[in-house]
Amino acid sequence: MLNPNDTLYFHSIAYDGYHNRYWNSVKQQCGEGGQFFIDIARKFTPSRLVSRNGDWSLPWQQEIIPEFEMPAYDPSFSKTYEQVTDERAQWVRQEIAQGKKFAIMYSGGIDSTLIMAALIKNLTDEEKTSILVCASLHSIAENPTFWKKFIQDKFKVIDSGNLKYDYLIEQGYIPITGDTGDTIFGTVMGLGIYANYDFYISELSPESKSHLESIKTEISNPDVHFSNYKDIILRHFKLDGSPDFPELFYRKLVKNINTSTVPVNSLHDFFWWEIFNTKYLNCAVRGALYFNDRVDCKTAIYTIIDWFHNDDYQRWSMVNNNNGQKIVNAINNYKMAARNYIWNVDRNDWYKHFKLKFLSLSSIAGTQPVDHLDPTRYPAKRVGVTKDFEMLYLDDPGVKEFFLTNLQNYKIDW
Amino acid sequence: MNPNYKNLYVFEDGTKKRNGIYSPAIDRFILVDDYDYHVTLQTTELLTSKLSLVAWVLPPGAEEMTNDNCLNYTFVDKTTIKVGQATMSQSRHITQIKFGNPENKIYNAGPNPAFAQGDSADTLGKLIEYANYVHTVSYAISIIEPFMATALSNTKRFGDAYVPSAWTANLELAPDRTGLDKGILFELKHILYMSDSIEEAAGAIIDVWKNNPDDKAVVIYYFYYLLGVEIPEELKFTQTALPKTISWWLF
Repeated sequence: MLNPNDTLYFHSIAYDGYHNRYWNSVKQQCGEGGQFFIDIARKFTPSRLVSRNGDWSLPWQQEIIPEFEMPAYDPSFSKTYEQVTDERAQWVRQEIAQGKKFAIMYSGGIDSTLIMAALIKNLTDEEKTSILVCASLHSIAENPTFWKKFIQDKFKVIDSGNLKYDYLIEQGYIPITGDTGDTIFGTVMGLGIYANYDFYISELSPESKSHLESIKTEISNPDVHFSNYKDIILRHFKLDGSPDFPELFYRKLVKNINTSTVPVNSLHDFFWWEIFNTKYLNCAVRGALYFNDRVDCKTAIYTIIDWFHNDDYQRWSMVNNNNGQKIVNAINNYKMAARNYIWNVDRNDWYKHFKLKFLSLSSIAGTQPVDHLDPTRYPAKRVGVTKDFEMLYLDDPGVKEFFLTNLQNYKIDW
Repeated sequence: MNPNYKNLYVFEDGTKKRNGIYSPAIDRFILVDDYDYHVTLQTTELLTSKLSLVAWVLPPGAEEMTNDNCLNYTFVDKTTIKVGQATMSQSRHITQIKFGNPENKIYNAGPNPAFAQGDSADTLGKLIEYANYVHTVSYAISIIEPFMATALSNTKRFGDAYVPSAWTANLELAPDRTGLDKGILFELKHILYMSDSIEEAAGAIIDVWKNNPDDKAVVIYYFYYLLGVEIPEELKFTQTALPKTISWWLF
């Protein structure tokens, strides 16, 4: 039975309709700290943030799974994105040579298209027979030209609509995902501001509006510190019923940045760091924990390969801020280094200039439990993982007490 | 009955509603149409091979936006506009049409600076040119389909729409008499979906007609008449036997 002093490897508070009432009742029993922590989930469900570098207090004890610790910042790292990507594909080649076979979760989005482009570029036709492409009609619709030219009749394809990672693992495949692709380049949170910049500043004071208008195109300029954008960041963090949340959340992020060992300067750096540091674990393990019912979570975490989760991609990410490779100045040039890599393979101008970031995982992997009907084991009930890799379900003994006790004791410490 | 469907076509003052195509990536409208939102939705779907788009029945207050200046126009507040469960900037390629209401205010924001110069500007220029071409062909296809129904002999559409599968289990229903898997109009739409330029699409369309000329003299005639262009030289051979029963409904 879970004890309030136990250490976790993962936690999840989700406002997804299933447990809103429960978390609302917990919130009513908490002080300012616990209320703030639940508000993170109200604003950015699901809340699974944990720091890999710098201060980020949590209501409970939690450690980073060693596999996902952040590599040391190395300002001299000089490999290009293309080089890191080609080396990743070469690693797949070596594994295929040893008899391994891989299943690519292909949504048609930038991350999974990058993976496919790298394999198309680096693998022989014979080696490609060890690749299974998991796709849906959405995958085709996102990039039909790529599908026609490079996938149709060239790779084995399986309908991903009703499959989960457990099926692929049981069939002997090593699933490859691009789930941490966002962490390498930045974040959906930032794109939300960039897409609504003019509207947000229209609500601000004339002085603030004028200042923010003058720096609108400087989102990836390291000489324009992110604090210049504080007013629009706070607007983006606005949460009904919690007027203090934006300032509290901003200050928590700033404290984390100020205590980290990696330079964070521009507005895009600010949002990049939020996902590269505090949201990385979620991106890296959510597939294993929520799109898998049968394989134990430790096996799933260590079997599923996240293409972008290796030291070189992370080191590249830490030394390539504000040089036009992550974003130039707008949502249509986000992930520019990946767009360029793909373009060098497919020469598709439309995709390079117009592709937007979508939420892909749920469109290519089944979310419904398919092999059992026990509602207490539904993915939505999964709220954490212990340090012994035991999956925690909300209704398990001690779990609700664990969250309530720790949230009640949590204090604002920033 | 007091049906409300007319609200989709006219405002309260009787002014006809227009429609358009919005691009989240460009954050501007790329096309405005005065006539038929069904055709605009089809054009939107055909263009989603290039980028994600959302078709709109335009809200009130967008009267100044035309097909000539729509690249300057966008929504004031996009934060509350959802496409399915996603925000509009994350709307997927399998798209839909949205009906604008007075809260969806549109304003002249000027051109998007992210597409002001370089490759992105060139690609945007090609997109607008191609979008207008696709919309014109989309109209031609959409008009031909019902008006030429008997000439096309699309038994499959009728069967799928009105007859239970069991009734036609031993019958062969076909989209037309060409023998093409999904019929000739599908071929035209697929060409528009997959082509990269007007030249590429127009050439491929000629090839489709040229390779399937039987019983198509009138259809081909109307198709190019609706586009407002001469029948291409390569297809003139199809026009030697226009039936005397031709209905000159377009004149």
